[in-house]
Amino acid sequence: MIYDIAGLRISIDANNAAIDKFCAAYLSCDQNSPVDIFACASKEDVDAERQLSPNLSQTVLEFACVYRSICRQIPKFDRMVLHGALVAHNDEGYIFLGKSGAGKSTHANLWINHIPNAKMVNGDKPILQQKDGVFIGYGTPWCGKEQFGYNGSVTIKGLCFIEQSPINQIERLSVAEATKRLFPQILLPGDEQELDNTLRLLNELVLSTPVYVLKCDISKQAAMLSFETLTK
Amino acid sequence: MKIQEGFILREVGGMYIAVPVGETSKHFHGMVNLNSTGAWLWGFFLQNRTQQEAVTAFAAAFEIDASQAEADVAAFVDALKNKGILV
Repeated sequence: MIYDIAGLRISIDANNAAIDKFCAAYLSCDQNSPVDIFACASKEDVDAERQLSPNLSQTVLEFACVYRSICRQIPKFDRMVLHGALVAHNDEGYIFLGKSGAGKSTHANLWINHIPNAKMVNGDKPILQQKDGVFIGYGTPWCGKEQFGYNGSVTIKGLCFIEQSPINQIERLSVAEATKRLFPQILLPGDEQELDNTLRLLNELVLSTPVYVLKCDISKQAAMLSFETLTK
Repeated sequence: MKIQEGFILREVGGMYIAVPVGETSKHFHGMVNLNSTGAWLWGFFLQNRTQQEAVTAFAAAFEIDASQAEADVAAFVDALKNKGILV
C-alpha cells in the first residue's frame, strides 16, 4: 500500500494486516503514481531487532523495522527522524527530548492538560523536514506505545531536553552542547551519502533552532515555565 | 599508523565529529568529538604517518613548541588508539 507520510509518497510492503491498520490514517488516495521510498521489514532487520527486544511481538518488531527502513532513506529528501515528543501549539511545534525515563512524555502531557490548544503531534519519533531555512515537524504512524499523535505538521520553534529535578529551572544550551545532546536522539544511516545528509541537517537544526534544558518536577508550574520560555 | 577506513569527519554545530559509515557502523557505535586541532591531526593521519612526523608537522602548523606539540599529539593518538580508530 502507498502512504503519504511527512510529505513523501511511501510504499510499505508489510505482508502484515496489523501494520496497514496502524498506518490507516496516512493511506494515500493515489495508489498509482510513482513513490519516493519503498520500505519493508527484511528478515535480517527483524531478527536483529528481536535480539535487542526479545519480548516484543512479531508485528511490533516488523513495524519498528519498517520505520527504520523509511528513516534511513529520508535524509536525501531533507528529512530526519528525531526521538522525542512533538507538541503543537497554534501551528507551532516544540519537541521534548531526554534519556529514557527522564519524563519527556510526562512533560508533553502537562502541556496537553494545562495549555489551551496544545496537541500531541507525535509522542515518540516525529520526522523533521528542513524547508526554506526552517524545520517542519510531522506526525507519523510511529508515535509511541500509546499511539499518541495525528497526521499533521507544524513549524518547529524550539527543542527542550527534560531532566528531573525538585526545582524548576530552564536554560538555553550552547550550539555545541545542543549538538552533543542531540546526537543520541537521531538515526545515523550506514550509507555514506545519507549519513552525510543527516549530519548536514543536524548542523542546520542546531544553528537555526533554540535548544533548552528544563530541570523540572511534574507540576503545572513546570509546564508554564517551559511554555513561557519556548513560545517567547 | 593511520585512521582506519569507515569513518567520515564533518563539522556539526561548530564541532568536528567523526562517525562510522558502511560496515564500520555495524560494529562501532557512537561518535568521536574533536576540536579544530584534533580535526587537523585526523586529516594528517588519513595517510600512514609516524607519531614523530605528526609532532613535527603539528608544531610547525600551529607555531607551538615541540614539548606542547608532543603532549597534544600523544593525547590524540592515545584516545584514538583506545577506540581502535588509529591503527
